[in-house]
Amino acid sequence: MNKQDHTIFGSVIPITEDFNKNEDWRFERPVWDIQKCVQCGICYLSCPDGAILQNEDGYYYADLQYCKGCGLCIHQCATDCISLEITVERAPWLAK
Amino acid sequence: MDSLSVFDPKNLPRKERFHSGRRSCKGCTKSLAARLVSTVADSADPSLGGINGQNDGLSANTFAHDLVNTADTLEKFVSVVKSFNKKSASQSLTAHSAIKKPVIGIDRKVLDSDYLVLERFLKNSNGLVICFDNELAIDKLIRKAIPRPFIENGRIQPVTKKDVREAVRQKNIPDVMEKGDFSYMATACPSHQSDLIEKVRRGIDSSGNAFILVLTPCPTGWMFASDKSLDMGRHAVSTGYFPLFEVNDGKIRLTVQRKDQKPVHEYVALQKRFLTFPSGLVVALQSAVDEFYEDIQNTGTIHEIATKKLS
Repeated sequence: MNKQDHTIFGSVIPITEDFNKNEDWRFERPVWDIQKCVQCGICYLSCPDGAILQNEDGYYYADLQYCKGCGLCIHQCATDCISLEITVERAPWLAK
Repeated sequence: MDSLSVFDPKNLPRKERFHSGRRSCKGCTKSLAARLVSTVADSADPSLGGINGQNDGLSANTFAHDLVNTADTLEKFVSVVKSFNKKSASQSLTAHSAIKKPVIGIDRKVLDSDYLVLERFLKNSNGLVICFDNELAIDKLIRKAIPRPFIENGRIQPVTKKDVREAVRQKNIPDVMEKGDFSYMATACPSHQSDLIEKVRRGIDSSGNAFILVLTPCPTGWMFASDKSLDMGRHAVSTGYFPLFEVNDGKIRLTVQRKDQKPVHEYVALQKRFLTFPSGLVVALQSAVDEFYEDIQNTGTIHEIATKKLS
């Protein structure tokens, strides 16, 4: 992501200039278990941001620049092959 | 969807026409619906062009806009399509550059308030209108049903059963469906993706104007977890709260039947926006939903349902 560090009043605030990417919205990232995946494509269909792509072997993966970590794909998966991996620790008041 | 047709998500084109970004919240079904429509519209006919999902207004080669939030954008879109069609006719461009069926995604609020602009669009071009509805009518009803302070009791009329029945009817059949000259009309939900895709294809293939009302559960506004937005749509369909039907040549046909009917209070309990909604009105909501569903099943035309007098 295109980020710049701006120093304002002595503290560093990251300012995002590329508003098409959602990288910094995410607390978790979806991870696919290839052994369980049957390549049905339901996760691809249910992603609101079009952030799920297919690799050469036919397995799906998340484009982490666009994924917001909403968890819709996990809820739709029939074989439970998708799980969420925590990338950023949530503050206690934001914990699910 | 027909029982014999087979739907396979693998057959859908992998080219994304939808620009993701910060316009939508986590788990937004409105953007999911726009994305699915753009994928289908793009694959149906190469002459349809692309979907412009950027925030920077409409460019000259725009063929479809995924979400119209204001009347200004709608007017802009109408003029762009009109001028492009004129240009292609006068310059005798190739068939691929002419717009055959412009697709427009419009918010229900704009549709209800500025129908005249849309009417102009429908007169000039043979288009498909996708209306994203996140239940403004029900939100108004909930706001009206909030308990008032004692002083205001006399001034504000309480919500009656008739209000609930009107809201359910208004929610499922907008005035446009009755007034507008559409050859194909349908209701769809992103939770039933195959049904939505099939209906968009039929809308594009229809000879005249087409209209599709899409229920888009909103995790932020309706107050539920973002990963449950498709479940919410499924609940709305299985309770009969939002029946999926299509109107072809004036005749109504239910495309998804409710087999194991669930009570409406299950759907209501999942959303925190109904927290202040009195339990007595939930019973009224159930009877209104059942009545509307029976009307859809038994009545032949949409005009009869829309003009039915509520006692």
